Amino acid sequence: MQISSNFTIAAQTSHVFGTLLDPKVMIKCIQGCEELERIDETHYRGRITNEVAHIKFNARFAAEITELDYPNHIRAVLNGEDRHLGSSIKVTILLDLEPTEEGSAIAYQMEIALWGKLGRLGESIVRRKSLEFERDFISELSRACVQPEYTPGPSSSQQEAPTPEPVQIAVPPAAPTSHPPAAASRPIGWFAKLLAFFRRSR
Amino acid sequence: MNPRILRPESLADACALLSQDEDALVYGGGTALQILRKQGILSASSFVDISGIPGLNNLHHTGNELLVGPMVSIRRMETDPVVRESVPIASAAYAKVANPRVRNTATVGGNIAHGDYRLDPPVALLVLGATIKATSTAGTRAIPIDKFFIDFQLTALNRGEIVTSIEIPISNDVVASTFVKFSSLSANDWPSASAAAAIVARDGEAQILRLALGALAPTPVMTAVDITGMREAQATEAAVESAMLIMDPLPDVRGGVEYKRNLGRIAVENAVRNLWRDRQSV
Amino acid sequence: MSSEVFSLESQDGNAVGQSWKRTNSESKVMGTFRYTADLPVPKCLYLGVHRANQPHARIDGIETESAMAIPGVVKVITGADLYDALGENLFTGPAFSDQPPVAWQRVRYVGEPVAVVLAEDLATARAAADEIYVEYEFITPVLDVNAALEGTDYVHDELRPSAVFPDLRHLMGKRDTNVNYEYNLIRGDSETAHQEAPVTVSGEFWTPPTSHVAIENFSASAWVEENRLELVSTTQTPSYVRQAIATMLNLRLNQVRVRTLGLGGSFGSKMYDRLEPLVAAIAWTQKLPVRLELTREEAFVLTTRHGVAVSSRMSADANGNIVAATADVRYDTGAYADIGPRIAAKSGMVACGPYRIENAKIKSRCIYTNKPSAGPFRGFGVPQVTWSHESLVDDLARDLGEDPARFRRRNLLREGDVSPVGTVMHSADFIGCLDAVTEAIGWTDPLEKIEGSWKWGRGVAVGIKAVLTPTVSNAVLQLNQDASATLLISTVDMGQGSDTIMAQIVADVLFLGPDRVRVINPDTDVTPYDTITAGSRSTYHTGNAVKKAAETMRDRLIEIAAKQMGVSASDCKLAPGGVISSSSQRLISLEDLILSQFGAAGTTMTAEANFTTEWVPYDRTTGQSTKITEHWFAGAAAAELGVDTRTGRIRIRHLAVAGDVGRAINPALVNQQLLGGAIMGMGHALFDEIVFDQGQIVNGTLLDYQLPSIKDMPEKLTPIIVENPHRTGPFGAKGVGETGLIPIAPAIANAVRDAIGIRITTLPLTPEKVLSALANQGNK
Repeated sequence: MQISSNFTIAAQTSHVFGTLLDPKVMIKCIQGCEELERIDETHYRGRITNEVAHIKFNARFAAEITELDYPNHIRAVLNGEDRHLGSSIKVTILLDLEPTEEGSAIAYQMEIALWGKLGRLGESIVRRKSLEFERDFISELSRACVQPEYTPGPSSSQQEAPTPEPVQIAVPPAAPTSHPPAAASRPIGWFAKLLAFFRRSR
Repeated sequence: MNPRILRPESLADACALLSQDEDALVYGGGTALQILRKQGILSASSFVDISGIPGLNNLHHTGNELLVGPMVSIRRMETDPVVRESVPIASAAYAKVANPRVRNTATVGGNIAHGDYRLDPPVALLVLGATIKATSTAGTRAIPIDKFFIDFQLTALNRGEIVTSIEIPISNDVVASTFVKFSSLSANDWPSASAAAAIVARDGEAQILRLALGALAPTPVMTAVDITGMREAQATEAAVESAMLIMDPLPDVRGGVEYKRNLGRIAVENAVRNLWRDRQSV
Repeated sequence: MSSEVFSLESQDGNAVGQSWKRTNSESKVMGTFRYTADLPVPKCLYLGVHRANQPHARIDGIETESAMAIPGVVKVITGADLYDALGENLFTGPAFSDQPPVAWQRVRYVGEPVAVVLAEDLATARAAADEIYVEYEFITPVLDVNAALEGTDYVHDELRPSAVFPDLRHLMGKRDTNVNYEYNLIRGDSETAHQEAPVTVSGEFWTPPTSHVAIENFSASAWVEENRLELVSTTQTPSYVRQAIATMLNLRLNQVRVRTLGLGGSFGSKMYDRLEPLVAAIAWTQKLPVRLELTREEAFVLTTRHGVAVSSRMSADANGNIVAATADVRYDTGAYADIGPRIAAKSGMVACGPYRIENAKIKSRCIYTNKPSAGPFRGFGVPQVTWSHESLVDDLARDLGEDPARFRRRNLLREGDVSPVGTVMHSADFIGCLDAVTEAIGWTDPLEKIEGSWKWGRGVAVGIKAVLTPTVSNAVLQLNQDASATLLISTVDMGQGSDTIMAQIVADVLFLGPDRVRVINPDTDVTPYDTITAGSRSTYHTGNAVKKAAETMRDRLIEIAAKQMGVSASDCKLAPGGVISSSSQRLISLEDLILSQFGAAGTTMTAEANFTTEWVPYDRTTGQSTKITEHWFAGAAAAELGVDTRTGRIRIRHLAVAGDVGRAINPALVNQQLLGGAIMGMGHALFDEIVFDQGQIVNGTLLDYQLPSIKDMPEKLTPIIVENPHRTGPFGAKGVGETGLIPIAPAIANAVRDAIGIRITTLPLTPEKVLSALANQGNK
């Protein structure tokens, strides 16, 4: 399964690049990441937990940066395994950064292989989960890069960053709208730009 | 390891069991949970089987509401004359669930508690404006159906809560209603797009088109359009325009995003055509 | 009357040609039928299999402690344990000895067994298998046939062809390749002929892997009794399994007993080495009784149908004669060869179709990838090449502005023609089948081609397949003193109705009524050798052996009766009720005859027969053979269907399928085979497909895997029996198990082409694919 997208962050490319390699920030950007440590220049290891559709997973992983071209390009390979669920995951990530007027344009590609019991459950769960990962990752990375005195949120899955509302209109029985509805909430400022990029790329 | 099966005989006992163990799951008909269990990926310590609790499989017509117990079977919603007459769109949607074997086993409560974005009944319940009653040791609360489906397989139910009733309003204002379902592969497969729609009369002349979509976003989704005075073509255009805004399909083996959006559009077009046909014949 | 000569006059037993009701139909309907898993066996330990979650990796370590700690767990067995006990014999397979029952040192597909738990009950065995942890070292996987051919990663370090086949010996030890077999057919000069031809069409075709999904799942039990291995297994190849297990365990054939009961469907899945090497290796090395039952999800990774890529070309002259055909066929055989090399050859040789073509060039390769092993599947690889040649032939006809049926009719092989593989055609009535299906759907009737968003069209396709040759069948017939009979054969009734048909053959020769002939379930201690129950071969091969045995019995009865009546044998003949003397008109019933002969009630007489076919092995360079096969299967299908241009959905109004079966021994069963094949083929045409992502099957459960349901049936489905008796078939009969499936997908695609003007070359024809083709057409 391949996922690719791009987004913009209002910060200098070198700053974004450094942030991407900082485990203290990354642990907050990666949803459900509970441990992340840097072993050496190119190797990391950690643990990630999550729950979707009554399935809880808890996977240890090792990541290796296989290509690094400061401050424009990173290729990393992550291998993880949930022993209890008999499933393993391999993610190959390509990140390309380019300076723009607004800050940095980031294009990324992920190739996700999920093998074992989870893999046979079909793509929809994985795709849905990756969308959440993506959403959280972008918002949290933006916070980290844009806010000078950034302190990571308490937990990425419950943090209060303005995550994009699903474009979904709930209509109570007694109050029908008279026109096709517009988006429910309008994010403001840098986040609106980010969200616009994000939506366009889908 | 397999979950333990617990069989409480009262609602209070069931709530107590659930409050004591956060990894316990409510067990209705079991058609969804057994699949997950057999896949070996379910993280549940026990199943609290509520089939032995008296009163949970009642079906009541109060005059302006249909009160449906959580253990009422999908099959009964399909076939019961009271359901067919009072809320035909619900009956039509329940009739399309899986196959007769599953419909005889699966329950109304389990069906919505599962929170699957592709299920047929939730779209009908959205259009009808149903209310879900959920009970726990903390008491009973009412959740409007449009606040019930939160995200991919995530509902508003808290841990420890049991769906104890679905209340479906019965309204004389419903001029016409319809349910349309498409699968993309075999005819018996999960839907790739479904639409429930109803024309509701308001304040004399005004007419509202209520439209809910299944399998086209991470949750069942809903919109409404004022079609007062519109011809069929205008109403179709307005409904499609509104529907396209709430679609956010997940790509999978059944089709990609663009394909599913197209199928969703056709489901809406067909739904409006059906509504117009039924409205003319009234 | 010799069994070698076909003659209608000799047959008046009145059983052949009748639609006898299926043996065991009541018990199957009532749910009392005993399947293999119901056969009583000693109390066994249950096996739980821990499977690889890597497509290609070295096994660095296996942690079994937490599995062993679970109460009820007796043992955990790894590939290394079995290798220590059995050495290189651990590797088995019908063509290549490349597959260990449990991975040894290396895993090659997601789902491969890595360790096996022995436990007191099934639930414990499976739960404990989940507790095993394996340390892997990742190896770059080979994920598709193109990567396998172009890349430098290899699934196996070296090729390991089975030592028993001389034609594979040259491949032994070959390194740095994923191609385990290559078949080449060369006839005439196809390159020049293509260049000189005024019309040439070409295409890149793909048929995805599919799953057999037999309703009855796999099970096997094995135990040791008095230094013998007993095996009860869901297999359609009991004789093969006995040989394979005896070789693996270094036992004499009479130390291995294989039994199976009627199967609940198979379609090629329960063939060769499936669960048997695993249970046999564990039972024999551990001296413990063991039983393995697969889950449905495990069945998806046990075996699949080959995904096949075909790059092909076909040319015709200005008169509409096909003059050249070229095909490059690539079979994705997964991690282990199984019977893939044989499939690549047997299907490659018909890859240009049943046409008179003087210039043909075919390369057919069997290729390893890191996926579950692909094996036989109803049609033995032929539907995948038929998808190519029947699409090309249709395009050729349309490019020439000719009716596709008429174009085929001119070019089809006829009786006495030499086929592109060099063998003379006999009893393969392609034209009869083509005419039958086109007539059935009203090919020439006017068709309203556009109705709202629906576009309608018609399509036709033919199919050719060679029966597996050489093979061996045996039959032992026991006639009881009360004129009932017991037939001992190793043909497995998997739902195709072989027990019924074989009983009809005996009954016809010996004038016995329905229910008088009992067919014994395969038991290698009792029933004689039979190559396999597969490839539509049983009616012809085992049927011939059965008929010969019955005729031997008939001749002996006549001889005995003649003696008892004091007349010559030539004066006597077998008739309803017994043996009759023409001169005296005296009739002796079989009951009295056998009673007088042996002087006791309940006695038996036994007759046996063998039927063996031979071939001329194909030339290694040109693939040519003057006798490539004992006989051919010929079939055709035609479809009338609509395509909804809004949704892309295909609705089949009428699907007609015909097969030349030589002679229908049981017309009802023949029709059911034709229909069953057609419905399965329709699934393959429309949505049936295993979807892989990075070596993982993502739709490997019945929640997501698509099979035709009753709601997917065409509005009208017409089976047509074409009878063109085979000179050496039993009563002229041939098999029919695969005929109905082979031409279905191209017939449907050709009708889609007719309806919307688009050639789709990739199966299945999902609505999404149809819509995207329509969108591309609109953009052009």
